[in-house]
Amino acid sequence: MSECSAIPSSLIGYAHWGTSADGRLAQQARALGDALDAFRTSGPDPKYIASIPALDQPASEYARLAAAIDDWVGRVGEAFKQAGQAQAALSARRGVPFDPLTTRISASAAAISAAARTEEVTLQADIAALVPGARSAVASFLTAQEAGPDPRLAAEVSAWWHTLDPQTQQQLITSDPSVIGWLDGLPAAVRDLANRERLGASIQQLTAEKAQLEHDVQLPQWGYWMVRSGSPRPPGTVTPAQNAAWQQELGRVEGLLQGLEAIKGRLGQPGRGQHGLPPVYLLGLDTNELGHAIVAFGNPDTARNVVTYVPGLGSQLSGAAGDMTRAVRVWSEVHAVAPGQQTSSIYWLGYNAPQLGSSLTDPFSSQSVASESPANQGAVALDSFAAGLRAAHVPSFAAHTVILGHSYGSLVVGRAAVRELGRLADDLIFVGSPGVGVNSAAGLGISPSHVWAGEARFDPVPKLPPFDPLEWFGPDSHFGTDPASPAFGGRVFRVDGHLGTIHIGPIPILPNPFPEHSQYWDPGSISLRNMALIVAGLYREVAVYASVPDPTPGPSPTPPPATSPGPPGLPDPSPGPSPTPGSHG
Amino acid sequence: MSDVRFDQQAAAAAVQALADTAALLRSTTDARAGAARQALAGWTGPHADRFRDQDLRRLNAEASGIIRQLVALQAGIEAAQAQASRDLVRQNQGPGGRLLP
Repeated sequence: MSECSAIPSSLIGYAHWGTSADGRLAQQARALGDALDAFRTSGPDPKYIASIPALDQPASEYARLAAAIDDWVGRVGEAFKQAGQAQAALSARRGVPFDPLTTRISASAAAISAAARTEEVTLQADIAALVPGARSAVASFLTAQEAGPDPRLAAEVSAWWHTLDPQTQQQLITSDPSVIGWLDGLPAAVRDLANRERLGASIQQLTAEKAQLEHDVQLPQWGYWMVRSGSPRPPGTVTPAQNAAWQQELGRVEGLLQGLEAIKGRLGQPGRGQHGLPPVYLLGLDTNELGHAIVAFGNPDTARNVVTYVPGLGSQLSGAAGDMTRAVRVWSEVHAVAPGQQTSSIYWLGYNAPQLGSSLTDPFSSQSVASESPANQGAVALDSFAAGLRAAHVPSFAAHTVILGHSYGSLVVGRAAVRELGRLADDLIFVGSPGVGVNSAAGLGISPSHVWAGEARFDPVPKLPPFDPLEWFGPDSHFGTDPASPAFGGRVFRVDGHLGTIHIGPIPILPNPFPEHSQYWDPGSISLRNMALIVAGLYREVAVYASVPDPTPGPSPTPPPATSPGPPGLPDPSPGPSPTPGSHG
Repeated sequence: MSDVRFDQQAAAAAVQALADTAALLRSTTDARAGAARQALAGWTGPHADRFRDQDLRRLNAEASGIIRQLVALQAGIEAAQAQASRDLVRQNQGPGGRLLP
């Protein structure tokens, strides 16, 4: 139990007792002093008192020391009392009990402020001495994390965090939320607190920016004809280039706000679920570039199963609503197939995903879907995040970890898996993958029987050709062998797929394969069920294709059922589609 | 008039005050230990550690040291009292002593 997880009720009582005892002692010390003075001034013959030892430790000094300590204990007790009152008020306002960690931190915050009010010198001195060092330490940890993960870093962060006293922890959450919020290895509840602080501040800041930009784009423009005529620019006008820049920035800000509001709507109260879902933890958030976020449905530190979903092409914070819906659907499906298992389903947008745009297919653009640069950068962050999940998990048991990569996200997962073979996760799932950067499941560092792939029949992304035209007719996709092909050597599970239709006006013209790329999470779909079964570790129930050779046997997976339908690439038709939560991949 | 310059009454008052102070300090130290145990039962963390490992230890050590000094001082004064009494008796029983028959 930490100092602030419970409010000791006996400190004030101790201080009251001590004050009374110290008073009696001080009174007795004065009486003793008077008696000794009287004896000394009575003029005894020196020969009688020469051998009497001196009293070099007067009882009065002891009484003063005891009183100072008892007073200090009383102040600590008062701080706890005020912390308890603040905690109760906070609980009443929020209407929910806190989880123990949140409670502890809130109590710590109240204790600190109470201590500050009562000028409790020791507490302040402790904090003053510890916080600067701790702030420096967290900054160093984050720098190391972003530079490229040391495999032991997250565990070191976790161990270091637990050496800090609650007051210092709370100080860091308040003073450095942008660092604490992203530091892998810290408890989910701590990151959540830090990022919730950032969320509110970011919405406030971006709302102000949006208002300013909306005003700015309305300013009259200095027309091109005036530029040509050489007329001086009239006061209060702006150039078309400036206006275009503002319009672009306004679009970015509106997108970020859309994503932040979507996250805010999902969060609910700290440590408390809503709408039948588990508590939501905000494990990462920033509005740099197109924004980044990590949202966990269920506490990953205590869950038995932890699945991390890595989105792909076109992913950005503005689309957080759709991606969170996918994570929620996985959680709900796992809950349905394995109701007794505590699961955390995480939406992980911790990298700059390639975006749709003019540079989309330019292999020399760092943001192109043809480039591996975003995947390589994302892999570093994903590897670190996965290490953080392991480090922060309760030590009583290890979670079953799964990483699910969609589309370009599967390349991020593949790149992360080969950074340190066998460490990233227990199971890897790829859906709609253009390749994962290696040509065989065995190259990912775990048993191929734990490498899973799903692919809708007409999903165009896995069919993106390799760079080399000589490989266009082989099994390779854009970034290596298609993980849903037999040549890859993993397990391929069944997927539903439903073509869309291209219309000209109201008239249907052509079948549209693109919706299939986003249908893997459709409610009721066999793909969603299969992914949930893998997350729950119910491998025997996963509907896999019988024609896929059974890969190297692993300890956990089971052979495919005899009823497994058709060969890979030929999924069976199934009932109609439902709306897709996200349109990107 | 006696040649023994020693105020037995003042010495006795000092001895009594020393004994009372030592007794109070002993009882306070014992009671403090009990109250501290009770306080620490619901209190853990760095400040509790400081209180238990530093403050209480220091208070106990200083109380023990003071009690030792009080006892030693009391013993010294009592010895002086006895010596003064013996000198007084010797003086009175000697030549020209007032108590001689």
